[in-house]
Order: sequence, then C-alpha cells, then structure tokens
Amino acid sequence: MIEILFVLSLVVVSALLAVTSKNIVYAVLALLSANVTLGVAYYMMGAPTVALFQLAIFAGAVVVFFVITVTLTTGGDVEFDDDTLPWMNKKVQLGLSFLSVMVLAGIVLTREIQFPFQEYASSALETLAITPVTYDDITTAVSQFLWQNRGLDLVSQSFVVLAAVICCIAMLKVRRSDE
Amino acid sequence: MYPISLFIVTTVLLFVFGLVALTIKRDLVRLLIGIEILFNAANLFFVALSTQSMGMIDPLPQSIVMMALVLDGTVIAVGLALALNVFKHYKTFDIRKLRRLKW
Repeated sequence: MIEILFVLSLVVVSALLAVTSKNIVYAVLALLSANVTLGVAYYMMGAPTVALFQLAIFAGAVVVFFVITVTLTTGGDVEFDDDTLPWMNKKVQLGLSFLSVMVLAGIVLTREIQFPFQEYASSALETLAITPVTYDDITTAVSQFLWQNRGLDLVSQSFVVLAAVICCIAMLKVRRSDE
Repeated sequence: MYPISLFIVTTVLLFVFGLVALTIKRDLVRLLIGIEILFNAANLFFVALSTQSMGMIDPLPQSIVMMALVLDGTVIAVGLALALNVFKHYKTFDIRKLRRLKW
C-alpha cells in the first residue's frame, strides 16, 4: 500500500510543479517526471502494456516534442507568464505539495471511504475479464483482444495518426515567402 | 488490488491542476502541459476502475487506454506544431496577442 502511495504522491507533486514552475524547462522536466512515475503506477496496478505505451509515448516522444519546441523558441527564458500567479513561490509550491501528499495519505488511512457513484456501479455486467497468473498473460490477453475485437479501431487510429503527421508536415513546412 | 479511493483523489487532484493550468496560464506551451495532465487524469481513472475486480484483469479498458495514449500523443504533437507556427508569426506564446485572426 505504501509503495503505490509513494508513486502517486510523486505523480501529483510532479504535476503540480509542471503547472506552477516559472521556468518552462523545469515545467517540462516535471512533466517528464509525472509521466514516468505514472507509467510505474500503471505497472504496479497490473497494466504493463499501458505502462509501456505511457513510457514510450508520453514520457518519450511527447516530452521530446516539448523540449524541441522550447529549444527552438524561448530557450528556457523566464517569460511574460510570471504575472499570472504572482504569489507563487517555492514556499507556496512546497506547501501545496505537502497538502496534496497529506490528502493522499489521509485517504489511505481511511480506507472505507465511499463515493456516491459507487452505489450505482454494477458488478453483474458480463465482462471479458481473465484471471492472469503472470504479466505475460495480461500482455497476451490485451494484444489478442486488441487485434481480434478492436481491429477496426486500430485501422482508423492509424489513419488519424497519418493525418496528424501530414498536418504537422504541412504546418512546419518552410515556405518561400518565409525565407 | 489497491483501494479505488486513492486513485479517485489522485485523479481529482490531477484534473484540478490541469484545469488551473488551462484557465490561468497564458503561455501556449503551458496550456498544452495542462491538457496533457488532463489526459493523464482520465487515463489513470480508466485503468484504476478496470483493475478493481479481485484477481481479474479486463483487457477492454487497457486496450482503450492504449489507443487513447496514441491519440493523445498526436493531439499534443499537432498542438506543438501549431504553437511553433504561432511563435513564427507573432514572436510570442502569449495567447492574448493572438487576436489578429487574419493571414
């Protein structure tokens, strides 16, 4: 229990720093930390394929995109954004982080807390759930499910990704008028 | 199996942070960081709900979250390309300066 509390606390504190840091490079590094720790949390929760995708796409590719954008533009200067939260300094960040971790720890200590929507959740629905023995079983079940039951989604998703790539190329193309 | 309340509170905190970034910040890159935190909150809640059956794993939510992760990555990539284009035209990321909607 304490290990998932530690990992989720790291996720929350990193996300807080990503939102409140004045330097954009620190914000991107905090976002990287949040994505990596969230991947670890997925792995601990029993979703290794999701953890793999999280680490590869969110912690890898997307953070690289952010770093490239920052490097090509402002290069990490402290920007105009300083006046949006004038009271935000390191003490306030530390206090908010401590408060978030305390809230999570309090939730762990009071395990029997019930949220209203849980009364309406039904466990009688028919699912395709399996009983895994190892993480290999989970990976195999998810990939089989993906290719057998969600094949059309995969094909349409590949078209969406292709459209996004073409869109990015069109937007970043250097025109003659710009040279 | 971990208690669902822990994930619910984490999701709420992440959602609040993302919404605060979207409503307060004026930097385009920081807005995209807020959007990514919102994506993370939604995905975490989905996976947390799927792993609540004792000893069972449901492959449907995990496959849906995998597809959502890929699409979120494309959304962020297109957004950053838009931000680069904005910076090329306006020399700033400040969204208050983007009022001139003409080419």
